[in-house]
Amino acid sequence: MQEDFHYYATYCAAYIAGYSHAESLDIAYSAQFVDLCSKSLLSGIHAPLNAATTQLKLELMDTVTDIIGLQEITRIWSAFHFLPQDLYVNKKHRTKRFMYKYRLICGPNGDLLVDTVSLAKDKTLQAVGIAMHVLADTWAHRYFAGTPSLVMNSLSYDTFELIREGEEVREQKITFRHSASAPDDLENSIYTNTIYRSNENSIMNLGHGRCGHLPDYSFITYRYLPSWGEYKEIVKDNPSDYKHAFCQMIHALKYLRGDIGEFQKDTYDFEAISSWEEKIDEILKKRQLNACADWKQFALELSGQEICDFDVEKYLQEYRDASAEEKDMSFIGKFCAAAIAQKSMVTNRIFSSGNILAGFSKKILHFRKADK
Amino acid sequence: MTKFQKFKGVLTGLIQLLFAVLIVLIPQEGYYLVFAILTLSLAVYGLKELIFYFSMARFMVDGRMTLYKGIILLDLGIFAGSLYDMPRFYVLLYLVGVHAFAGFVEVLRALEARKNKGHYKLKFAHGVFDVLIGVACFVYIKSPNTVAVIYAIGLFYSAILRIISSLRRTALIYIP
Repeated sequence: MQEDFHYYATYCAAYIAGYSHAESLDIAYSAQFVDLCSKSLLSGIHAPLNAATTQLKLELMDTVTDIIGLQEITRIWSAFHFLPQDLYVNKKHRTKRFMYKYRLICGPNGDLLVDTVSLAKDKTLQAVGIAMHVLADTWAHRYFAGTPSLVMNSLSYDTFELIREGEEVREQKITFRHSASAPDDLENSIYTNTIYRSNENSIMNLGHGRCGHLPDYSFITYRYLPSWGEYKEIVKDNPSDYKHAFCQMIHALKYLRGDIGEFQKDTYDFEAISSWEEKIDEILKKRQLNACADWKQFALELSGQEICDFDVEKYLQEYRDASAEEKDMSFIGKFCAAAIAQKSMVTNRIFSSGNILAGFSKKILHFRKADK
Repeated sequence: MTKFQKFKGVLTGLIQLLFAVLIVLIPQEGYYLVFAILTLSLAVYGLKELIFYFSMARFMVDGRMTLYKGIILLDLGIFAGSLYDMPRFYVLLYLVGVHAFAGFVEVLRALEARKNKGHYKLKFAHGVFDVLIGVACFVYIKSPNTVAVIYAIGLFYSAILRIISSLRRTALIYIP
């Protein structure tokens, strides 16, 4: 997912769930900031580096994918972008090495999602925003793992886009290219993906890199053969997945606000969007690389308030200027506390399942003021 | 390409350059040194591929390619080891054969990269040149000293290309 959903759609979901305009903006900012909070950014403002929620190109280039490097990558990408669906899933006649990675495949409605949402309960708006980012990505990034793996993350044979034209569905073969600068060509289904590397642990095989940005576009439906899939094809219906993500976010946000008593898996608040369903479907299905403008317009219709564009610098100066004692209570300080808690929780869950790929983390047994 | 991969590429290139010089300056010992390292590298790489196949790739769509690759490399390595005490002529013959085969594999990899829309031209040229060097060596096989020089030129060329590839700026496309 990208800024259109993590920032604008998250704002809309928060507002529909009952948060105020200002609260919704903070939640949306935090959700989008997850995609930008790298070690480089944190080091620039002298914030704790273990709060990093993403890795930049150059950071990944410097990472050697030995076990220590793999653990560093897996901790970040599994905790924030590819939340594992089932850490205890079993498959007969598979080796431990295979299962370590197979169990990290992301998907919605896993136990870790409940843990993620529960962790944000009665915490800061920053924690809520992080949880919404993680929840939304479980839908967009399903079937891919947040660890470098040729076996888990590559595609075999051809991939086809399913384009609906009235009642008919037309199949168009997808061409992948490796152009760092050219934008994806929707008309001819030409998309950029990462370079093929036969090395299992190459960073080119991290997440959905081999599938390009297809999982990030809400409009697209495509079928492909994942390398781990035993020759069974997957049809990925993004408009439906994104709609489920949106309605599940509303359900989770209502729980976090205290309007409902329990966050339940596989529960979607379709009723809450009934007045705008057509509008939301229209945005989700519109063939475009970036749906920011449409979501922004929808947000304006919802709250009657102009949504400022996402500005990564918005809260950085406040953190730089804060004294050592005040830093924890600043916006970024609270974000860092929530990020560390989420990373620690997921890392420990993976480690407790007997999987060494994320390493282990200290348990956070008490919360500082900034966490509440 | 990560910094570590660049470092590995440059190091391998420098070792190849050293071998090329050794073969021309001290042909007798140079051959056997190249031979010993080649044997070890092929066997280790082949074993690595086989371990990857049995632990991971056999559960993957089209994973059998890894098995074939591992078997061929390991076999080449073991075979090379068994030729260690053979006369220089046969050692040379084998080295040339492996060089030409490596060129052939490079051409295949270039075609694979082309299929995957990756950079392939330099790799393709490298592979074709290696095959040509192999052919030239076979043509002059009766004159070991000429073959030694041709083979050294081949190694030298491979080394330079490997170093250039490693130092080349590559746009990193990264989409997690």
